[in-house]
Amino acid sequence: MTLTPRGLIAGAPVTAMVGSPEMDPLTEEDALREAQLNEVQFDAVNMRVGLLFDLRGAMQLRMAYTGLIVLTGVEAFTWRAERRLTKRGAWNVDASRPDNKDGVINLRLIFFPSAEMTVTARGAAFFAGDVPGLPDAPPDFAASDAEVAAGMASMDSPFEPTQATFIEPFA
Amino acid sequence: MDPVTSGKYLYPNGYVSYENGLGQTVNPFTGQTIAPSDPFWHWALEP
Repeated sequence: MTLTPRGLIAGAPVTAMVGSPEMDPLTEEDALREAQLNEVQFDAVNMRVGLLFDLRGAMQLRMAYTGLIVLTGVEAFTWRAERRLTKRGAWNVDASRPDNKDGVINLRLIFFPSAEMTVTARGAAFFAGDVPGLPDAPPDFAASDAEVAAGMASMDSPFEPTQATFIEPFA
Repeated sequence: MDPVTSGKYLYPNGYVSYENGLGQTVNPFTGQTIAPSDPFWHWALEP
């Protein structure tokens, strides 16, 4: 079965052997520095949030080009960003701050240009891996829609996780 | 950018990244978006 980020957010199991990432974004500060947020999926009914990252610029996560954080039992989710006048824009992580206490996961991401995301949840997983065929350099966002789509991972891309970390309960 | 003093990859004197108007890291001479293998990806500053 081909995994996709969307499938992992829905709870699809990872059956392949996976290792550990160089840093753990779920527990270590600034592990996501310079990762670029591509997409967010919020499933209100199942209380899940998925955050899809392009890791081709990530300073501390260099063994894979695509990253996915899945949060379960989501109790709060916020996104606030400055107004941008361009058709597209990159949201690069400037600081990532996990703060986990008493069974509650709080993840705060600060981006540049100015934006901030917070998620409060009860379980989390981080997957890093590869989308087959993804080029080494991200597409120029000034290119055509087709060129940009071809050069980026999406929630429906085939995704082969090679590293993972978990904070229970994750189900 | 500010020094990076924690994590696996350190930049104790800071680093330079060039961006285009859309916030993407680019090669300053070509303007092209860059791969991690590009020397301008995160250009470490010397003391």
